[in-house]
Amino acid sequence: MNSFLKGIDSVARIHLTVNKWLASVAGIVILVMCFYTTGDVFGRYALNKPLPAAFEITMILLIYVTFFGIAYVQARGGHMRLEFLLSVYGRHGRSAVDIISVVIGLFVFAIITWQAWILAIEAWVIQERTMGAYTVVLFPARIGLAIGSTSLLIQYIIDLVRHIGHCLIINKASEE
Amino acid sequence: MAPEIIGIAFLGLAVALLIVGVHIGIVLAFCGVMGSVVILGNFSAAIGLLKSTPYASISVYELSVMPLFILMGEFSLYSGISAAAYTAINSWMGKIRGGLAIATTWACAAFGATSGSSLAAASVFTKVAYPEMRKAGYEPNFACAGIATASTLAMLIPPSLYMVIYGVLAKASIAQCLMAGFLPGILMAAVISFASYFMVLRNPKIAPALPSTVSLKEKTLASVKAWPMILLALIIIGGIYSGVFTPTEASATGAFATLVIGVAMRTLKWHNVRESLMAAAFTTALLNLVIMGASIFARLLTICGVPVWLGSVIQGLEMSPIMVIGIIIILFLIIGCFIDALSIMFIFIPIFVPILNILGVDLIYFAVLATVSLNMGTLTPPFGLCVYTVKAVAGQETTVTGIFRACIPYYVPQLIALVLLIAFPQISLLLPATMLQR
Repeated sequence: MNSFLKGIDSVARIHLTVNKWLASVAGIVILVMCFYTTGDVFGRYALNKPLPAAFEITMILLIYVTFFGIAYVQARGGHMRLEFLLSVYGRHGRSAVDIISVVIGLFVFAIITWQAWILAIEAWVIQERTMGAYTVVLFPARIGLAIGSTSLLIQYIIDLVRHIGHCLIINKASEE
Repeated sequence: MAPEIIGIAFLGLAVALLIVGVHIGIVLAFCGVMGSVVILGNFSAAIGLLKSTPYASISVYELSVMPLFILMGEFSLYSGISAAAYTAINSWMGKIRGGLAIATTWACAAFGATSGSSLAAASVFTKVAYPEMRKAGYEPNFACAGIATASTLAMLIPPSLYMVIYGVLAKASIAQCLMAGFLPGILMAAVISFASYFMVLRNPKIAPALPSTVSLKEKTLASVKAWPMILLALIIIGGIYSGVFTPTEASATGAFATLVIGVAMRTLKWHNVRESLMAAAFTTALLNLVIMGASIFARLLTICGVPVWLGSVIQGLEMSPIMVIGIIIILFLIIGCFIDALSIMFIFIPIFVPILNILGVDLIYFAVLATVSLNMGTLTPPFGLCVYTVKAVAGQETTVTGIFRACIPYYVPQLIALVLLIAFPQISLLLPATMLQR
């Protein structure tokens, strides 16, 4: 059991590095969003020439900012929850709540990830574009959403195995 | 079974899972999906909901305000802008009894123009103002209570994170929501300042009188040095009010200006920029996941007709809009003691907003009332987050119980201000109504 958990811990470490990189990309995307929007404002007022598709690009970048960060937030245990009862639970109670969270998350994100990849492939095939004055291709955003949710799904699987493993170890220790 | 009953049942399930401690975004998404399956009678509806909502709920232009304002707040934390503003305000207020506490209040209000987070304000001003107050002989718990109370102003003065999230959840104009918080923020700063003044008058031991040694020249010099804060306030508040910027443009320009100021003043280092970007990405991701869950849950509520049903029940009871607002505010004040403000918003705003719409209540006016009442929860036991933040930074001289006790006199003026805001909607609605571009 211990060697299995050690194996999972190494997978978790590798995945944490991936998640950290994705979150770093999300941070850089925020900076790009900041520069592009400022450039658009400057272009509009100073040069009478706004940057193209600032509105559409901002909406696409938001997908990266959100979905490239969510797995890192889960890995760091940062997702929002009401904590006022957590302190009264014992170790078992807290593990049970964590397992419920992960199982529900796994269910929701398994469907989201599955559907996100279908949509991403469709968007790639038909070269889906935004409608309006500027047409921007949408498949990069769709693929970004699919990559981010896949990463969160993997994180949920890692967390589930770790929580169950730790519960089993605690039970075994208390039996002995 | 009637759809409304199914909706209420899944609302109950969501609340139960949330209280147990399951992640908010996931619970809302799960209950929204399962409720839709029960209502529509097939699983493909659930798949359809999870296929379209993640993209549709996040790829919203108005949401871009959030990461950019968070980034601006992070940059301003490191760039030392707040310390210069505090020194300037303090040089003018220092002579008044309780002057340091009053200066902190107005410096927090000024900081609110660069950051939408009360916790950030609490942390920064405990570092900046608390040592000064202690040096001047202020009683530690009183000093901390003053800082904690003043830090809540950051959530009212634009840019406010609460206002942005409220605007997204209520589908109200974010620009108007942001501007609506400005005058109530000034009102709150004034009542908190009066409260500090009268507390010191009543008990001079908590804040000894200071001899004023600051000359007019020094005061002017300190004020000039606070130019970055004034510039940022002009960009955000002036830009949005005048219609020069949309909230997204104001947030981007503000973040860019803060970055340039920090780099030019050599206070913002490369590792600070990296940490700021990570923090902005982290906070945006966690908030947006909840927004996605709330969108899925809001769809269930719409399918079930729960808000319309609740609205008709309230109409049947012949309650006036002001009574309904009063009940919601009291509910927020009570729940706010146990649950953090953002969670309350995510759970209750999608339910209350359609009811308020039916009753003809202005959603911008309600944004201010909701923010002020939820803000108070950050100062009340047992989970007053601002108090815990101040205590964590202030250290051993203070106790959590002592700070909570010292906060009690500040509740009264805040409640009075809340009543004034309910009675006079003009305070909240004057700026949104006169904005050049809505």
